[in-house]
Amino acid sequence: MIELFEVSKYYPTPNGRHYVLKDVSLVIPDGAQVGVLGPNGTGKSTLMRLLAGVDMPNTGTIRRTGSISWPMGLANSMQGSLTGRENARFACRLQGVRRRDMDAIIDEVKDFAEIGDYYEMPVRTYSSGMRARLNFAIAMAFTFDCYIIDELTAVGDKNFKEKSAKVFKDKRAVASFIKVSHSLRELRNECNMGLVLNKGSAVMYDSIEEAIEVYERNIGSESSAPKKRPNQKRMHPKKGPLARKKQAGNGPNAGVKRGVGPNASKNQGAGPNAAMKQGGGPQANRLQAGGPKARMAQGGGPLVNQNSGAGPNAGEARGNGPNAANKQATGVKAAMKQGNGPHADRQQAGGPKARMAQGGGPRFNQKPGAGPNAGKNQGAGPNAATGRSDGRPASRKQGPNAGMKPPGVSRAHETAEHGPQAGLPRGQNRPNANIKNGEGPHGPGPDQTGTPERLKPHIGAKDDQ
Amino acid sequence: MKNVKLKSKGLDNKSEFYLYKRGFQKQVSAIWALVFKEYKIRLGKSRIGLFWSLFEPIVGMSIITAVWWASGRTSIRGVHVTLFVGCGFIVFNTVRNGFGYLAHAIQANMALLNYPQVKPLDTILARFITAMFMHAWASVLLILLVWWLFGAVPDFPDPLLCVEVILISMLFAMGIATPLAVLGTLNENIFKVVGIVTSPLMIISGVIFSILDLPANIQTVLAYNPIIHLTNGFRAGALGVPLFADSDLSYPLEWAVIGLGIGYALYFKYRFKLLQS
Repeated sequence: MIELFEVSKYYPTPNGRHYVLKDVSLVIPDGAQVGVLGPNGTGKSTLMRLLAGVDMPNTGTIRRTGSISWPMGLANSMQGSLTGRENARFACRLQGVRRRDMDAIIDEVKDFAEIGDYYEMPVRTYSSGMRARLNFAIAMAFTFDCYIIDELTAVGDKNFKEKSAKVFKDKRAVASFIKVSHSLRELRNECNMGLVLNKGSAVMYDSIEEAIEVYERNIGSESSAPKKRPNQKRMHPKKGPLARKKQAGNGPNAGVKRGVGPNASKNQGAGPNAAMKQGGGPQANRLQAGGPKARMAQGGGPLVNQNSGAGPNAGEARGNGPNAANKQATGVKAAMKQGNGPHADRQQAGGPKARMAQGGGPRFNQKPGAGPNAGKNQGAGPNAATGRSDGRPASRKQGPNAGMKPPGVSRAHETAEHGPQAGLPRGQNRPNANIKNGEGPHGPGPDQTGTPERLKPHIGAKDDQ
Repeated sequence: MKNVKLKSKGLDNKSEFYLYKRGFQKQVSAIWALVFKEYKIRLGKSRIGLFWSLFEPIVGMSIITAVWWASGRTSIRGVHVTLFVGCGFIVFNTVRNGFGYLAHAIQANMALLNYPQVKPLDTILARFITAMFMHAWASVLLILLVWWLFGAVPDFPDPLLCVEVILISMLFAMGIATPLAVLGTLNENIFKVVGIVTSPLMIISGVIFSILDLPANIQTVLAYNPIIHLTNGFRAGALGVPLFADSDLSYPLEWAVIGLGIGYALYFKYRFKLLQS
């Protein structure tokens, strides 16, 4: 059991104290399998160090009962000038292992780590993968009452991961653990309690599901803040010929950026810069107004949405004017509400099923209502009936007419009715309308004709859940 | 994997004494683990490490002795010049460890502070034990070599004085090393400054000459250097060389105690920063 009594931990900064934990009191009971959740920089690793006794709190006390491991993480806990064997021996000595048991443990660490002759070489000569394997092997060589794991389990190749998982499963049966991981699926599978860190607070939850829910809510509220658009500059370089090419629609991947290719939905609203990609952000407007190819993106929106009417944001950028689009798709939260947030990418853009879920069927150029789930998703989609032209953020589950739309009716059509170009038939009466259909002066977009996988961007493709 | 179950003890049903005892045992095992680690690193993978550790003072002594021989001098204060210089090196190297090897202890073991058993002070203590152990062997070897080559043997008229000087030298080394280790870990430039300041230390510490051969006013000035009290004291105990007028072993002892006090105060003040860095 680990008990924290009014524990505070801060780091001095030029602007004063930065509290990682502030007056935190909690109890981690015996047998608990706790998943620690929190955005980057909230002090998960610091908490792990505090719990293990490596670091000290500035105020408050921590009481521990039973044997507790050191924080087993990717952070280096080995001496580079010693060999793997000597590091293992050092850990044995540190844990008070008797001399007669030491050699057996050291040999088992060698077998488990599978680093061959490198075991007899200084650790500084190891690759990062080998170092992580040895680290994990040493950590698993001892049995503790409580393991402190700081993102350690995702090391090594497939075989090693499987082996690690098995060992870890055995450990879990007899010991408690406190685990930091950004893989929510992993935490969901392995933990029965959750500890959520947020802005200096640390709250225990009896259910990991509840903790994950709170964590996601915390992330969502932080990400929706307009000033927090960390990747904007990186993802959208404003300078350089390549950047202009991509934004203007000239390069081989131009269609991908415009929302034409099979990965189009990834770019249409995924992430904090979604609005820019969709033609909704202020900077996007500036860029789009610069030439005929730019207008292509501005006037048309993603081709897939035009044809199928199934994309979650279809027609928004087209029919609602720049400001409306800006309101609709700015920030991660907004994108998530539209079904395009970082956790939605997998479902929306991760493969044939994802595309089907968008109502587009396996191909993006499918006609309205053609996909097996097209109608369902179109009618009941997150913002299906709310209409975005009013600029109000749409609720994910609510919306006055959510779920009432008849199958096969595209939200794109509906939103187009509200915008300045409402009533205009899709693909007509707008500049470069034919271009939007992928048949413009530059011919069909490369992704329509099958862009090689290596050319496709993979924004948000990481499976975090 | 076959695992070793570590002892698990609850807090509630154990006495205070047991907790202290357990904490002490943990620290002892951590220090010994570090000592063995330092020993391995110090010796390196070849015999060269061992050779250099043992023969470094002998090499230094040989160079200084050669200079004396070149100037036509074979004895100082009636003692063979090699033995006289060698005795100076024995004390000086004890102290010099505090400026170098011990002072880098925390910085060199930062990765191992990830183990909860290892505390920054343990790393200094472990290096202290390693350094003194190696230095003791090196000193014995030096004396045996001088005996074998030149037939010059210290007669130890006051062995207790020798022991006292060696103990104070060790304490002095720790008193220098502790604050330097803390400050140097926080700011590496400290070590550069120390390197510059300590370069003339061997000369002004009476290692290569006898302070008794210097004029009285220079003796008074050099007496502010605590190391010269130690070198002169050791020679007095081992070779029967007289103590100089201002000789006082309590002076370097005061330095040692003050240094340890400052070192621990700095350690306490910056304990959080040390763990972060």
